[in-house]
Amino acid sequence: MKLSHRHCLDLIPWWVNGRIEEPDRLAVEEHLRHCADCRADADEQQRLRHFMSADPVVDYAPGASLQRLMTKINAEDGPSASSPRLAGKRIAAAFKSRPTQLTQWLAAAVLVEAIGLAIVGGALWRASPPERSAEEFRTLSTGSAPTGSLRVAGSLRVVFAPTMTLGELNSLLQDLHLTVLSGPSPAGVYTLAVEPNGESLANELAALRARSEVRFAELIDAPTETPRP
Amino acid sequence: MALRIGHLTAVPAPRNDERDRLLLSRTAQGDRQAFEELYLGYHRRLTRFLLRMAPNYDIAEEVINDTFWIIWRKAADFRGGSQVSTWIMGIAYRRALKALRALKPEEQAVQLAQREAPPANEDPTERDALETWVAHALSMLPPEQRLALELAYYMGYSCEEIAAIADCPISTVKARMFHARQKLKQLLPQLAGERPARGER
Repeated sequence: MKLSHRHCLDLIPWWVNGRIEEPDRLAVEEHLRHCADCRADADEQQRLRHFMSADPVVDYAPGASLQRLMTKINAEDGPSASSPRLAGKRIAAAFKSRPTQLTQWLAAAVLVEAIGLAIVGGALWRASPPERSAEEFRTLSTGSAPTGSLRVAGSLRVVFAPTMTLGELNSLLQDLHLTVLSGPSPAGVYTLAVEPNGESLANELAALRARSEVRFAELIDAPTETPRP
Repeated sequence: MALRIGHLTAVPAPRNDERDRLLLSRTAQGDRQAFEELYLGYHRRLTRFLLRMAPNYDIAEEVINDTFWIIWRKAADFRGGSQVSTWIMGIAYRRALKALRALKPEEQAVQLAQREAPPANEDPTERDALETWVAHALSMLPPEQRLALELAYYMGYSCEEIAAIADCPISTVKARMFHARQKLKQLLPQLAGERPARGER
């Protein structure tokens, strides 16, 4: 197939990116052998494509963005069960091609988890063992409460503003007498419980929602049998 | 957030269409885990693509979430006539075009300021400088021409796929590419090995 000059110019971008049918590829290459203008254009386009392959430098936050979208969807359609454990694996897979970013992300996650564990550890240390053992919390990672389980003390699912520092987070938790049970999940969700000296769950929920740093807060387990002391 | 051009990387890897079809089918049935997997699978590729045109991360994220909001609502409408990735890119394309057109002139001015052209006394033959020149020249193109060029050279789509994404005839894609290249020839003489005159912008 013999190409016109204009037809060849039209096909050059896809000859350059390799997404061209074989007969067209052969025809373009035949034309390029005889047309200096098209050869010059093909060279330019190859250089342009090369420079356009540079990536924007940006920190990806798919978990936080997804959480915002799911909050909107939940508000419209009502909430439904989700598996943060699976989401964690998926986010790890999403970062697979960038080991350095994965490492940074994991390092940040480990830091936040460590602080969360320290808070939980402190709460456990303060609580008397019999009282603590009588409670069972359901968290995002444990699924539904098993039949015949002990009473559920109640917990809160909260998403904080991404700009919030760990110091500010700790300060807020202390002010409201809240303890981190788990989190943040890959989507940035914390599961919190009220400490013994805290307010009722409803009051804590209202207090959380009144804070500008709180993007989302909901009650995920109401006390069912024994009222809070 | 200003856009910076960073390391050279490969064109985004193609998606597994069979897996995407399964996820989309489950999404159509209200399966949120499938929807979340689809979202996370596309977030990175869409962010990279959108941030090349909208240097504001908030706008890119808004376009992505608008896109997936539509996918959540319209998953059942996918008829399988194209790859899922083409269908999703088509939705993202329309949302991006709408967002870029909706920018007020002063916001566009901010974007252009963020994409400042390199100093005139910078040696354009140096790699980093030329990358910056290319980014600046691309920002001067009309949105449709810019999108056609990005879909071909950054995302690696064929002419037919771009026509499907942009929902236009193949001849329109070729015309947009032709005009984009003509304008870039004027803006980027150094691509042909020429150096711009000092002080020329």
